[in-house]
Amino acid sequence: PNVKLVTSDNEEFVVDFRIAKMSVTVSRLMEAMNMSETDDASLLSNSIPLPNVTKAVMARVIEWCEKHKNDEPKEEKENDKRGRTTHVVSDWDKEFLKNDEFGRLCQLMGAANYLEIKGLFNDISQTIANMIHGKKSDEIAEMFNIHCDLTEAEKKEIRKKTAWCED
Amino acid sequence: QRSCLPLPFIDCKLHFIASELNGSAHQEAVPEDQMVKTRKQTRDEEVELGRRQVERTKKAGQRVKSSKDRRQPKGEDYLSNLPSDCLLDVLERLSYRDLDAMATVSRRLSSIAAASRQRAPRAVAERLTVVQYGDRSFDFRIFAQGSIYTGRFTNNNCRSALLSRVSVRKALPEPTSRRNHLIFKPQSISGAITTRAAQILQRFDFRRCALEYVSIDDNFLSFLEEVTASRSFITLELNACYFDTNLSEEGRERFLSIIRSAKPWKLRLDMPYDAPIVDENFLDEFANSGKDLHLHLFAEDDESTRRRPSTHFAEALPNFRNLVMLSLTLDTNWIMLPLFKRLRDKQEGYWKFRVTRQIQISDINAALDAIGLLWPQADYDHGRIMFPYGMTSPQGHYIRSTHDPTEFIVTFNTIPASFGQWTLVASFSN
Repeated sequence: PNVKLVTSDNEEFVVDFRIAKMSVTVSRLMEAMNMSETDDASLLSNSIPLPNVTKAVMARVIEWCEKHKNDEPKEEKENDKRGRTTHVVSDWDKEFLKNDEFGRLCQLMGAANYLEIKGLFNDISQTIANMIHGKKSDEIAEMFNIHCDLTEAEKKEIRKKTAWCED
Repeated sequence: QRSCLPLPFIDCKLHFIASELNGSAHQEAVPEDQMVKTRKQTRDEEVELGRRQVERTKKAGQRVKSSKDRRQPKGEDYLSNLPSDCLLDVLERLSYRDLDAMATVSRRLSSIAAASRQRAPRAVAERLTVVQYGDRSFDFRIFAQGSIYTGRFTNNNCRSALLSRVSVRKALPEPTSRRNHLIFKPQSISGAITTRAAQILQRFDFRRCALEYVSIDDNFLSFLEEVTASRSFITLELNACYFDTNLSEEGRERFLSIIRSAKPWKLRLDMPYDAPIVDENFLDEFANSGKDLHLHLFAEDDESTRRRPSTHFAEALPNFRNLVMLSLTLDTNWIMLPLFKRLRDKQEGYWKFRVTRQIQISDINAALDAIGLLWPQADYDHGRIMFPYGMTSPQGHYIRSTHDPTEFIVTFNTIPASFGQWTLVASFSN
């Protein structure tokens, strides 16, 4: 059975029921609309509106879901030797997310958050965390085009607070 | 010789001097209209020069501005525009060092980085040692990942509160000699030190925590609560520490709460005086807190400080791998069964405490019957009971008993012997 998903720009995506169920939000909406896998009529007559997701982003979400529809639920986090909590991003996911510009990646993260697709959300969150990891403050600002609205005095105070070791 | 001088240079110089001296004469020689024109030209040139200078300054200014521009964001800031819950999830995956960097990027990221610290993964440290020096300062040693971080908090002054990283080889020796122990006057640790220490120590997850030469009072407990908050230890050691006479009843309860929340498997209290918090209730509670426990209490031992716990404690006795406490008196009837069960189950361990009477062969027989084992051979010779018994071979188990009818200090040592045998060695002394 297929489910119709309608994006904010009125684009209709027809996806497999299993894929639709990967999103907790869609799953809840289907329940609310009495749409079930066995009831083809309800699936055909209804479509799920997703006002927070655009067509382009939805296409990427579906591509990710297609790849992961048969995945077993996996352990979320692991601790590496440095004590950093990490989510292991698979090679396929790395390649998949590499193709997106950072702006698109953030849109995709927003969509994963809204649709409650935990696996995709964790993948993107970990990818961004990996981009930040090991960078200095000014490198982070430059990399992500962040305008610093802290005064020098505030920065000094924060540095004083967070300082803990003289290397 | 003069003819050898570079004449054109002299000429030129002279001409310059002459023109200065005879400037008026030159002016006179120039027609008036031409002079006006020249003045106009000069003014124009000055204006032009000024204009150029202004332009140059402007350009210089622009250049400075453009170098600033390079630091200004060129594109859109997508990261800061993420919803707070998304940003929090990203930042919670970062280390403390990364969060330090994030804290000075922007105001929003700074506040989210601060919130993320609660859940940031801590670096695993093998050991934290807090040593009190004199009555004014505390030294910290954190043994983590092949390095030792040291720091000193001087009382009411946390200026020197930054840790220094030193290599293991350069680290100062540990003050482990008990002979040099001195008990210091009660401390008064400022809130600033407590907060600062918590900020620094929150980066680590300690496996073992050792306090040395510390005088424990209510102020120190506040500090200890910060240090041990939301952590569990394998070992908690108090070496040559002292419960200050100023420690309130509430303080004792707080100390017990610290132990309860830290849940150490191994609790070692090496106190020069008695540790009143380790009473019968505490013993019951600790004995039932887990398996494979270690409790060492070295303290002053006299009749007034003896603990005689209830049968509830006796039931939990097998939970102790090591139990060393000379101020503990147990009924001989309680110990036989857990002791032989331990031998049967091949559990290594060491017990040392007092018993109410010496062990008889009948006690051993009864215990063996109760756990369903046979007694291959027994021998009694001049106050020494020899009973070769082993799980695989009848070798090497003996209990030596004295004839003193009063309480005994008894040690039971269950150890693996050769060829898969397990041995119980027991000895009694007064």
